Amino acid sequence: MAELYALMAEFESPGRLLDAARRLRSQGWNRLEAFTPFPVEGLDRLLGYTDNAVARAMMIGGTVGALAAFLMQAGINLAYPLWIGGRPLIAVPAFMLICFEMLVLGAVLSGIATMFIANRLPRLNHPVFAADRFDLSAERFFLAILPDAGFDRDAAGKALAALTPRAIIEVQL
Amino acid sequence: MGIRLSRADLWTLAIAALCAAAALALTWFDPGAALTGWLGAATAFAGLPAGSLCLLAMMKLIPGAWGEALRLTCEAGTMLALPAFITFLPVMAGTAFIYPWMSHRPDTAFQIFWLGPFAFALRTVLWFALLWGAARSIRARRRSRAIAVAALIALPVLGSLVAVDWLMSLDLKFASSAFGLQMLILSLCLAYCALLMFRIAIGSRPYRIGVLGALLLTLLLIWAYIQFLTFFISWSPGLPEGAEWYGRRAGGWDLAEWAFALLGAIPLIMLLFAAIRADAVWLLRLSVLVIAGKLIEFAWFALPGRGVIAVVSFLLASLAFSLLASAALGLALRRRIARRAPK
Repeated sequence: MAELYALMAEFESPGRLLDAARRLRSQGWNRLEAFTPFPVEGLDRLLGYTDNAVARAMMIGGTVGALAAFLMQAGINLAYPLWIGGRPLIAVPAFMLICFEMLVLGAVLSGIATMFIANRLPRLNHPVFAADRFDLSAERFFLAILPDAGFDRDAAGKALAALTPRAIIEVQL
Repeated sequence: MGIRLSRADLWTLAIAALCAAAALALTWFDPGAALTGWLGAATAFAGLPAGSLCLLAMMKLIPGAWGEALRLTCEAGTMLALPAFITFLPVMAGTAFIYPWMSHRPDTAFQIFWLGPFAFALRTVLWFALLWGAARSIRARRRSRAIAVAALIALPVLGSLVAVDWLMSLDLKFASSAFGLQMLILSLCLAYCALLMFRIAIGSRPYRIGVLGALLLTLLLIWAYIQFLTFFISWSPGLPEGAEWYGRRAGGWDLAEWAFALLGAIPLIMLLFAAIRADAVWLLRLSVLVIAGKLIEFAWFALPGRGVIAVVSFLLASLAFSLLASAALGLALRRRIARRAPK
């Protein structure tokens, strides 16, 4: 038998999905995942999603970009000195424009790269695509319990059934 | 309306009147310097109703959590237009002492028409009439969307005219098309921080306070951009008038430059952190820093070259207007609440 990816329940509205996620969390189910046709406000907090890797990466990328731009301009001006209008070689106001551009570039590139890596993109397939009834083009909202070390399949099934979903679907890896 | 002055309000207003009287008494020693100091403080004070109207008009067109949290406070802020106008009466009466164009013979017919105490007073009156009239319609919820659109178009245009009149014309040679925008963003930052401080200090904790912190960050970013670029445009090609204007702010005033740059930059960097943006106590502290920075900045625009009396007059008048603003904002807010409460 194929390995289990998740046990998934289908709901007809985002409100029911939020309610179900709240109840499962309160029962101690911590490895939850949701699949919805549009972003549902508050769902990330209910699923315990606290990852701010993208924000952190953008902060680091922006800082590195700005510093690199400054050092690059200072290095070029010291290596090839051009005296213009009596201004100092390290002309900080003039450097700021390039620093700003590189700050934005560094922040955006590192943010996008981190987002891709965190989402494991590009990815051409996902186990839920093969699951019965899985269709986000219809108004369907799915909540999945992912198995962990001491996973009890029956207990998970009962917990999902208690939420009275439209269907309970087994998703194979 | 049944809104009465409390004992604390009366004391605040009495001290404010004393400080204002002391600032005006300095005209006995040096009318030009004392009135220029007063002008700097009055321009900052006039930024409160102007900034409040700008925020109120944007709230009307861009509704959201920030509008729900700040609308009544902003409406109260726009009611400061009347006291702000009164603080400009000494300026209008004393143009001969303050402005160099009063003692210079005009070069062109346009200068005769444009630069004179009457034309100056007329533009000042029109500006406060715009602030009062537009805010009144928005407060009364009468055709408020159309008025908000018109006000947002008129604010930078007419604001540029009075900014040129009030502060830029202190220097006969200097001309900058971004001067009005500089004044507008200064006023907006000052007004927003004053209203935010007032809102956090007196009311319940605002709903989704992180949005309010993010807006402060946005305003500070716009401020940094406009202030830096204006300097850069003068610095890069080495425009002589610009260099002279900034050069006059060397000497003791470069300390003021450091002060307002840091008082803007430190809050800006701290607000990059979401935890600080969503913390009411931190927003209160940062608002105090920003307000201090903006007052120094207004002084930096108005006072250089005018001597110690101008600085003392500015400090006294700023203290007077701050006290006046705190009492008047409280009063205006109680009035707005009484007006909007269900009958």
